[in-house]
Amino acid sequence: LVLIVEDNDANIDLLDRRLRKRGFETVLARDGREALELAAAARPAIVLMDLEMPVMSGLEAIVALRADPALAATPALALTAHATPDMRDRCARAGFDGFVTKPIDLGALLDAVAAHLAGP
Amino acid sequence: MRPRRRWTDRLPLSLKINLVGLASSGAALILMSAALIKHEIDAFAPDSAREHQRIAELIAASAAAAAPSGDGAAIARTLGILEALPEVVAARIVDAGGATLGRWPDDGRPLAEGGPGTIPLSAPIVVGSDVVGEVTLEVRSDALFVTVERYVRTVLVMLSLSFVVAYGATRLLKPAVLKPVTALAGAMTAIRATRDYAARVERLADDEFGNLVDAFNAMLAEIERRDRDLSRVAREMAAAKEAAETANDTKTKFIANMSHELRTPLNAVIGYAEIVIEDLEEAGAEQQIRDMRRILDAAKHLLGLIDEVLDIAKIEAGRIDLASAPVAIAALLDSAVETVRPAARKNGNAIALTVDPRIGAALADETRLRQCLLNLLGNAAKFTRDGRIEMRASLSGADAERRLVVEVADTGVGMTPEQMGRLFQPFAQADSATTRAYGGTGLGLAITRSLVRRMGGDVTVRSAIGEGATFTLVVPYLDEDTVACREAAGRPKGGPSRRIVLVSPEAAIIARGLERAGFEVEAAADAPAALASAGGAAPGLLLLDADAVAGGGWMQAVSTLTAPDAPPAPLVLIGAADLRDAALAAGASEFAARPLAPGALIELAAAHLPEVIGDVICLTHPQAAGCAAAALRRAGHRAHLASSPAGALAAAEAAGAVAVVVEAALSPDALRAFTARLGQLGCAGLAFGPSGAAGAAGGLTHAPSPGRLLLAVRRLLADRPRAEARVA
Repeated sequence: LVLIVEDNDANIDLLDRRLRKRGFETVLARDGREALELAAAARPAIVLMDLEMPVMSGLEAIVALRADPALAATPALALTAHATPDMRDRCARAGFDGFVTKPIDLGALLDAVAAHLAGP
Repeated sequence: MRPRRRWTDRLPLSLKINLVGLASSGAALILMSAALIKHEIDAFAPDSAREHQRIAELIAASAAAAAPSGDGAAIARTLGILEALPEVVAARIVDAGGATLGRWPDDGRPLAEGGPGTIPLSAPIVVGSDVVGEVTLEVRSDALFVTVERYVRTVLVMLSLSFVVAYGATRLLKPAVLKPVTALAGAMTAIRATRDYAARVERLADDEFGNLVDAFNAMLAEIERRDRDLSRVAREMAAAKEAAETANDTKTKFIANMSHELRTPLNAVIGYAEIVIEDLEEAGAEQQIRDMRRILDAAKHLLGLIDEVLDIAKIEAGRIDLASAPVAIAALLDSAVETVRPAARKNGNAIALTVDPRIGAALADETRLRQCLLNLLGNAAKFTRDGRIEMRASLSGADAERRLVVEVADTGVGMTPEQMGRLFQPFAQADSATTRAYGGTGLGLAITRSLVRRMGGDVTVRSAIGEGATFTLVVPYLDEDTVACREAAGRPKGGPSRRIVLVSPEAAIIARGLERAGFEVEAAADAPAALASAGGAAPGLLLLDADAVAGGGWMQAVSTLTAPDAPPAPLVLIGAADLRDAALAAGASEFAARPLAPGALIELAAAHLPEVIGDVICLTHPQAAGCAAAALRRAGHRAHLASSPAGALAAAEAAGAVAVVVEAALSPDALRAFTARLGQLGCAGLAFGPSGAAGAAGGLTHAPSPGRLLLAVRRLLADRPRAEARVA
């Protein structure tokens, strides 16, 4: 089960359809707060989260996610267009396990998801 | 032409006024006296002649009574009146027969008739109508000059008096003349000193000086007006510059935001196109797949263009951050060539890659370096038909200056010098017709050059029309050895010191711990004192406690201790955790947060002041020797270089070395002999070479990195007793 958190309709639809086509189950959230609620309820195997969202940003959401003992170990990948080293560093410190740059290369995303699901 | 200077130009004005007064009064007096004398001369000469003639006649008349009788006494009386006339020198009275009746002065001297300097006058003595005798007078001819002399004396006295009066008068008048001049000069000096061009000079007189003051004030007004105009213009220019910069900044931000906004929907277009293509592939709709692929290609092309615009905007705004991580350069070059290969093949081009085998992993921003390489390769593929594209990578320079040189050569259309001049300008392809013929934004090379320059390198081009083009990209090659050499070059010479200078209220406690760990600690009262003792015997490390400085003064102390003229020792600041960022920003090399964790300072000190472990002689081939030695020295060893096995043995014996590192193409026999000799010296040996190291105590493969070399040396030293035993 993959939790996709993204505020852009087209992007979330694309990700959703392509992941389902490859056999993943998905749940969708439009902002950080919704993502936290869904994560607590649905216990996804991995979270893919956009950084820039209304209500609660990805960086805030991941900090909150890591604070919940039940969700602290869930792998989470950040999705962003800002692929600067500084941003990578901030994501890592906030608690993301990985980083996928937009535009999303499906192959790279699937590799990253597979790597994190296979891990501990 | 320079005007001729007269001697009067050198005299001060006051003296000139004096001279004018004296000269005019003197001249007036002298002229007047001359006129008087002239008048006297003109008037006196005829008068005196007449007067003396009359005197002669008078005497003749007086003598007329006495002469016929020859009354000598009466004649003498008559002549006696001449006593009153100093100009009459002598007189004589004779009778008609010529006999002398009487003479004056009656001293018996013969009367000098017509003697020099005298004028003779005579008058007949007439009684009735008979001439009974004659009176002769001798008058001094210079009588006139006696009078003149008297005049001259008077004139000289008057002249002196008039000089005194004139001097006094000019003294009294001088201030009246000089005051406006000195006032003007003083005002000019003051204005020049203060640059207060709004000041004006008071007009003290209505004469020529008054006009001069007016002219000077008018000049000041002009200067003031120009100053005002200039500063207004400067203000306007500054404002215009600021406005232009703001506009440019706004433009850059706008382009960056715009590009980002353009990418988002475009990514949706690309994503959906890919999904549709996947669906169509399942349905096997060939025509639609081709159409969709066109949409996808166009969208990807558009995305590429937007990315380039975004890049150039970021570069112009200076907002590009380069990463620095180890990158397998050869693999990167290979993947870049493979990426371009399809495009090259489409234009009928062969593409080849040659990589220097020495090229391994180096620090770089992989994404950006790949982007630069793809730009160069893509360009070559785009402008070459049925030709050949070659990428050649090599290394140049040595030690800290090693550089990666990548050449991309094509056999394409080539360029004129004018085209090459515009080549790296943003939005300037060789010409606009090129853009239509070959596509692209013309930003690729501008981006490439900007990025490569940010990496500390450059891109250059050689080309001629019809002869293809060769682009050369040069960037610093930062592999482990180069980095080690760069760090080694940045360290002070003279080997590491174990001395620490400490400024802290708790100096005693902190020093005890450090001393127990083998450091030499010297406490200082404050930063200047630390600097003074630091200057003595170069310390390896400065420890500054923020609590040692009252108030927030620690920042000042940090800058004192890290000033360019301070000894180049790293500075560790000890303080509350929230000072960390400020401390590092202020120039501290390290920060230790209070409360101090046990051993934290010792660990920090050990990192900066590695223990001197002993002499290690390095024997390597020349290129690697410098780097290997630098790495060993950095780790606290004293490393020496030797150029031959015999030299290494001699140096090891002289220095009492504990280990010898040898990279040598020695034959097994020679190596065994070498190792045996080392054993006699009580020295460990480490050899590395193509085939490992038969007979040596430690073996490493060919050309190890400084890190691996260091590890091997450490292991060797730890095993030393065993190594010696083995050699023995």
